[in-house]
Amino acid sequence: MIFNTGAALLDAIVLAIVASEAEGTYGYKITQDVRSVIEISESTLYPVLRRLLKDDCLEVFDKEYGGRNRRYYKITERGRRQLSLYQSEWGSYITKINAILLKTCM
Amino acid sequence: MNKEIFLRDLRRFLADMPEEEREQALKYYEDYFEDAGPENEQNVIQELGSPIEVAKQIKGTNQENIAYGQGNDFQKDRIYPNVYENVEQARQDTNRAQGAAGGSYQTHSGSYSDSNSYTQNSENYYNGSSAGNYANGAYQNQNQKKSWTQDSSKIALVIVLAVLAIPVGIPILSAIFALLVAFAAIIFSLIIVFFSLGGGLAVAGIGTLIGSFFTVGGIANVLTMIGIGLILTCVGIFIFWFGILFCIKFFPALVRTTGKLCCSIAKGIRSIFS
Repeated sequence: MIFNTGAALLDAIVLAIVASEAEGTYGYKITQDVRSVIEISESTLYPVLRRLLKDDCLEVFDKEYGGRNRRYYKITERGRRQLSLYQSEWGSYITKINAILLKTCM
Repeated sequence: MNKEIFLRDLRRFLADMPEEEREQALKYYEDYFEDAGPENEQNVIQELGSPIEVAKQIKGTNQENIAYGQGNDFQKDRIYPNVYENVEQARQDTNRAQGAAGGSYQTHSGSYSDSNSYTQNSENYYNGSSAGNYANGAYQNQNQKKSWTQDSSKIALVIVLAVLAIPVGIPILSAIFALLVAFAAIIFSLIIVFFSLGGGLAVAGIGTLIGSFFTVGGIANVLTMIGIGLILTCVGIFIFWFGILFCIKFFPALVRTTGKLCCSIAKGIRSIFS
């Protein structure tokens, strides 16, 4: 992958991944899902999750799994609003880029 | 390197965080290892990098991370507030953030060995794991920043050592000073001894010589007195002369050697700073 992933894009991806799981998802799984799309270090995500948590875009709850308490993340209402904002912005951004970048040269 | 050591070291590096935040971060990574499964433990350690880097990312001190492509400098990229109430605001902020040098999240490509070495070589972990692709400008800024921080950390180290040395240093310095004073006193008293003893003996000798003229009891007594007087005078004069010699020759040499000693000590101290 040669294009840098900015902070906003990473936030959007994380929000989208968490939103797609109605029951919530956990850190390791989120990381694996993000890494299936973009190349990031596994240590990058915790600060992102923590910040989204602080900004009230995500919420956490603990659920028991295999004899221990696993921390799950779920998207909040504010997070959904933020995500749809990202989605519309991304749509227009990609359209503009495609118009220039994907134009075939004569 | 295993999970326990990694987590233990991470806990240590997060020691300056508030307790609740630290425990949450540690729980996240403990869970992470658990969810990855024991068979993936080494992979995870490889991917996460060193506990120092992870700790820095958590704490958000990512000045160094910028040039080495370790990602997580959204604090440079993004300007708060993070949640935008409308698209316009979001657009403005994003445009403002475009100029920042950071923002590439790339796979960590370094390797992490045993926990003892990084306390000495923490800088090497940044150097060893650079996987970023950055413009020259950002990289040069990084170099300048690095030398400045090296100097300041040296100065900080010296200040800390000086402060710590005070409770130990004052007694030591006092002892050295006392020794020097004692040494000087010895020399001084030696000189006094030479002159007074020499002078006293010589005077006694002359006195005896004079006294011999008034001695009664025969020529033997007179001759004895003269003999003793001469001996005393000679010994006295010899000691006196030795005292003079001591002052002229020995003392300047002593001063010279102490001066040389002080100069070499001063040079040694200066070389620590250069």
